[in-house]
Amino acid sequence: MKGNTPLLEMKEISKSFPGVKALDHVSFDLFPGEVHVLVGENGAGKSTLMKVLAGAYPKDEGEIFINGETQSRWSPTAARAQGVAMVYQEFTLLPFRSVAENIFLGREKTLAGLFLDKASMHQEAGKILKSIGVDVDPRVSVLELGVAEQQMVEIAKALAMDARILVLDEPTSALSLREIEQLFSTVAKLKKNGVGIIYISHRMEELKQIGDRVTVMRDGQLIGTREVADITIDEVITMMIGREINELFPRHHCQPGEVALSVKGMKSGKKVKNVNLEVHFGEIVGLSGLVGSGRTETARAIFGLDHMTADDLEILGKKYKHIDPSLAVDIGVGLIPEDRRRDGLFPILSMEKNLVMVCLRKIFPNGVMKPSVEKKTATEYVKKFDIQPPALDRIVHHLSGGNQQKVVIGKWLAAKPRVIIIDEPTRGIDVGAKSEVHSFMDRLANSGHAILMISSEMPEILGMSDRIYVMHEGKVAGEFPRGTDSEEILRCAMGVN
Amino acid sequence: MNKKNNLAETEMTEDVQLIHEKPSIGKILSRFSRLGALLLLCIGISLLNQNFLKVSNLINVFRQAAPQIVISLGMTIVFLTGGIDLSLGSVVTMTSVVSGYVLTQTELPWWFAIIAAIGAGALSGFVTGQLIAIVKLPSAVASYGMLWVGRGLAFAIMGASPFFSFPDSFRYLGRGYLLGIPMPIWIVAIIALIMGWFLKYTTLGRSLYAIGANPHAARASGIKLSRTLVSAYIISGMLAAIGGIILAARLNAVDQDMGASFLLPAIASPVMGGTSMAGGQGGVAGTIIGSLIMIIVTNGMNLLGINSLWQQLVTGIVVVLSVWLDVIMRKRN
Repeated sequence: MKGNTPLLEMKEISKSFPGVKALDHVSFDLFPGEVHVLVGENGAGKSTLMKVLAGAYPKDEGEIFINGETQSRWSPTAARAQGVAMVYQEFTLLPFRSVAENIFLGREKTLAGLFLDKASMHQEAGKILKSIGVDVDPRVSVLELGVAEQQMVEIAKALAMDARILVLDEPTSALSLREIEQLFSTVAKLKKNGVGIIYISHRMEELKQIGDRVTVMRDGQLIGTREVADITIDEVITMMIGREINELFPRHHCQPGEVALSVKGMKSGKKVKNVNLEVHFGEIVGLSGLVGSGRTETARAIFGLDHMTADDLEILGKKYKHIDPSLAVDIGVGLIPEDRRRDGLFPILSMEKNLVMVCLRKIFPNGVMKPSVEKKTATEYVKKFDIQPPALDRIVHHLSGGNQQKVVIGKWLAAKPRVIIIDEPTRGIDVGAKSEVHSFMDRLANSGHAILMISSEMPEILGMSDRIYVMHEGKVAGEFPRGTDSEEILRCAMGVN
Repeated sequence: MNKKNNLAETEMTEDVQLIHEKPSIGKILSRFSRLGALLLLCIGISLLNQNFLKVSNLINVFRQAAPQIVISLGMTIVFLTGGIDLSLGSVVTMTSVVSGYVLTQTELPWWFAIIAAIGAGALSGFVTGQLIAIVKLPSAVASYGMLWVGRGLAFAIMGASPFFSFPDSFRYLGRGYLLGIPMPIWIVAIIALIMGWFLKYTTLGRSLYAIGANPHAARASGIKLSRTLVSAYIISGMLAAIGGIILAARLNAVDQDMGASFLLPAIASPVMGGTSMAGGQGGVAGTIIGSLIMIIVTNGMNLLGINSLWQQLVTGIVVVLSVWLDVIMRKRN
């Protein structure tokens, strides 16, 4: 395989976003008929690299070669013309249209330029599907297909556009074992046809099954590219983690008090299958796990945002059978949500109105508001969190990400909860705001609150948690004390023993 | 170990000076643009016809506007939550028929007719609200269903012949004067004050804005979504009923079509007054100004003797122009 001209070569690619260097001189190549696996923790830069490849993000520095030729103008159109195709976790198929119509979407074959030439589209689609070993009737609507079949149609759609470079992003995350086998045999067929495949996965066992080479990324940097045959899974994990984390976290550990929140045998939706956990007063408990392991869903279920069942749910010494967000607020539970814009903010309302929204019923129990009390409460939290600019009438839509997050945290603390669930406390905010948020969490815990913190960032989990639960496929797969090293946690999260 | 359940002891309490932003001239202009448009309209018409500014004409305008304003305020409440209530016109009909029935077909006192009508309005709002909050129908669909149910009920109660000749004490609500000012204007003033207070100074009023601004965040903030939504539709149904009562008292009769023509102006008035149909923004004052603009345009054209065929066209243009003006003003800020 070596010795040929690479299908794709990305040289020294750099890309920055305000405050973050997302890619730092990363090089990556792909040969025809090769499966090149790309691994790295959440936020390592894999998706950014793939978005640069697809032309969705312009690169700041670096060069892209296709078949050895440098590409001076790179854009989504150019990428498609050069045969780059992406298959994402969320499918982009039209459910009520037939398989063939989806495959030829936007490039329909016509008779005399007016009428759809269904016969030839069906024939052609059938041919493509057959070439990757998929037995799907091109006439049925996508709605009737299973998840794996839909994925195959996505791949067929890419091939119909003459894709030579195929990016599969976590293709097996939604598939059953049997479906995974089907996908792998399709991948084998694609290899034989000379297609190059970039395969992004969190599942280490798949690396050995279908990978030819593996590239590890971390913190926007290329850590290394190896032949899969020459490397063990342990070595890959070590490369992913790298050296010890030297970021400073302001956690002043204190002796935990009584149990504040206890959940046993909780199930919710498809993603939460069996969760057991406990949080004590004075404690920050980290909930770690890979994307899709059910962390956020666990938080939503405890707070009553999603329907859930549990063998036992005990909050602040009382047992509950059902819970909904308004009950949760009343008994002293707060959820600072992952998706700030969706579940946290009222973007068109003022800072003052946002800040008092959760505590309204508490500070005005008879339903009549006093503007002076409202203003006083809002002012208190603007000052406490140093929200910038300190203008109560400012519409929160116009604030920076960090200040928006402070508004969301502030509105929750104004309701004085005793149990606080924080989902991704520092996602998308700058470094300064990050350490402020961490200090608040530390002080909250040490003043007797119980905190359950969900985070995708390993340093945050390790630096802030007094205890760590790790989730894997909807279950709490392990519990670790403070001081556990990241490798052990990552192994648990990946289901590797 | 320090176990206080508050953060007052943290070191972040250094004095931060709040910024009180001075509104820019553009902001002031946009805040009063609607009022300005209303005044310009009045000046324009009075230049063309001296009769417009006569007290008797102005009182007449306000009296005509009264039911329209009350019904539009009901729609405003629903708009704030991000919904729409298409049944309001037919609720006006249904509730005024209910009051007509009580007044002419029973021996019950006149004030009971008012209670019955308002109760019927609340009940229909309750049903619409339940369909939206619990069954999760889109508000347009649920209220469209209620539109036909309301019409059907009105027909069923009334049969073939309209109800008319009501007792004087009831008619006083539509035709009477108190301290030289017509009763409908008193009623509108009282309702406007109550609604303004309700939206600004009660937690329920605030919750309506919250749901319209972001229903997901409202739920996640512990606001009782269903209960709040249902109360919005109950209030709008009750306001439609009050509009119906004023109308019935003024006309001294009810028939099966009297409410239908109020629906579209009730949608246009809040929008002209700056209430967003997407929810979360707007209020009482804007809706009153919006209603007045619509009524005054009609009144002005009547005074100027413009053919009623052209009047409808002009009304349409005025609605579009005034909303457009509002959009431009907002973009500039």
